[in-house]
Amino acid sequence: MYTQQDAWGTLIAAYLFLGGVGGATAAIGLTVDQYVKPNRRMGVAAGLSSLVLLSVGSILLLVDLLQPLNTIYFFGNPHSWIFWGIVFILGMILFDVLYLLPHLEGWPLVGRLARDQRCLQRWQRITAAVGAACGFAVTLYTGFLLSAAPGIPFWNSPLLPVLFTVSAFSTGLGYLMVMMGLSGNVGRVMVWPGQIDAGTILLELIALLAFLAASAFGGRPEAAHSVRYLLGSPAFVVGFLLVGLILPLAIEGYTMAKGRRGEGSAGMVGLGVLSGLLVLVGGFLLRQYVLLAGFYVKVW
Amino acid sequence: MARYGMVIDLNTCTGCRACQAACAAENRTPFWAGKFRTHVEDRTTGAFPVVNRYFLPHLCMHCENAPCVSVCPTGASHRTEEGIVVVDAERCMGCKYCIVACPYGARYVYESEDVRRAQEVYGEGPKGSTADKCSFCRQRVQAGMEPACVATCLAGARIFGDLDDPRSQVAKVVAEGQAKQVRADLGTKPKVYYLGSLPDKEG
Repeated sequence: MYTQQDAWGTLIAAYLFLGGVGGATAAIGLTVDQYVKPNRRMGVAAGLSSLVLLSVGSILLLVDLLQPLNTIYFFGNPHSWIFWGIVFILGMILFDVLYLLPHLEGWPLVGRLARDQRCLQRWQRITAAVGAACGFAVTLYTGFLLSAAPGIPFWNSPLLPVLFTVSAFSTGLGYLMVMMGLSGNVGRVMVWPGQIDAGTILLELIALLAFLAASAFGGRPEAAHSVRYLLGSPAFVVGFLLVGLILPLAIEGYTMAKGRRGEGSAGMVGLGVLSGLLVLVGGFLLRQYVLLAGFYVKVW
Repeated sequence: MARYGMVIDLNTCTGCRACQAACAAENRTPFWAGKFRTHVEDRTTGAFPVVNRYFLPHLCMHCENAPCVSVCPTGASHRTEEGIVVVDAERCMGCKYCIVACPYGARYVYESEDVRRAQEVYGEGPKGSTADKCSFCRQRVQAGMEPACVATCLAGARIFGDLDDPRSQVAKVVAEGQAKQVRADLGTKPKVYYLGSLPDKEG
């Protein structure tokens, strides 16, 4: 009776995942560097990482297309979420590059800009603000892309963009924790993403419960079937729910309970990296399984 | 400008599937892969001795609020002046967004394997792999003919014409109020109507 959609598979799941991580990493990294607590190393790393993540994601989308050469018509319909997704992704890539430019001090023109402190500061604040806004918009887009498809009742929910956006920020923070831990950028700097991520994971759990409950009891049998499918999938329950959400939450709760005593120690850094990695794995599994749970009933 | 639509009389359809064959021949669809622009479902409901058999011809609903048109990023899926929803294969990038957006399951992918096979079967076919669907045989309609499925229907179960022309048979049938749209609750405003009762999906 229920048919599983097979139009979008793992490549699109990876595209949505990388879009979410890349967008959120830029939004967090650039905002923190310019508006919260200057951290040039993290700002540059976040800018560069989001560039790579979104570029790889965009390549995966291109690979999934049947006629990639026809992407010259990408901007043919402003009513489509893909249209806006590409606008946000290109905007983020452009402002990421502009934000990173002053760090190439060796280049003649850039060097002159970098030496003018007032001009440099204004440049970076503006580019970081627009880049972060585009990054945030990319995270929103990944959810709206699916929720705008009335053919799949489970996706066609206003709560899906909420879940995907919160999850994107959780994976963005997880990515920053992994990056900081592996680069040795630890200490106080290493602690705050974990603390915020713990809160984000809690929000994600609430958004997930609300989304699943609305789908299960919202009166659309296809969506209810999708929920049953997800809850019956070990990779979703164990891989995403337990390993990708509950376990990192527990780890981050433990590191917070340890407080400043363990800050910067190898064990704590290792736990932070592990937690970040688990969040990333969970983020991918969430998108993969939401796509797999795209069931519909043939009208005929 | 005309606003084309169709009425399908379920009480008259005999399930011969001549419409499917005519459509496949006219539009060179990949029938070998079970992909048709119009298809007739054969459904049996009930249990012995109270059994009913239905034939359900379906095709693109050519919705006035077509989700496939709004989600298509390139504008390849668009509505013509006559209200026909078509896919411009030259612009389609094959993102398959229209396929997941269509609540009627009216679209399919003309895969690259289908394209290769079409060359063998029809002598020519589409240039590349894209999304595909019913176009109300626009090429025939523009030449003053009816769509292939309508012209070939032995039972006269399909009526095609201008919904805005009160003299047309299709407009008269729709005006009588007996013809129903499928899943009108979705707000898509389909321009294909059905006479007779549609059986439950569980049937």
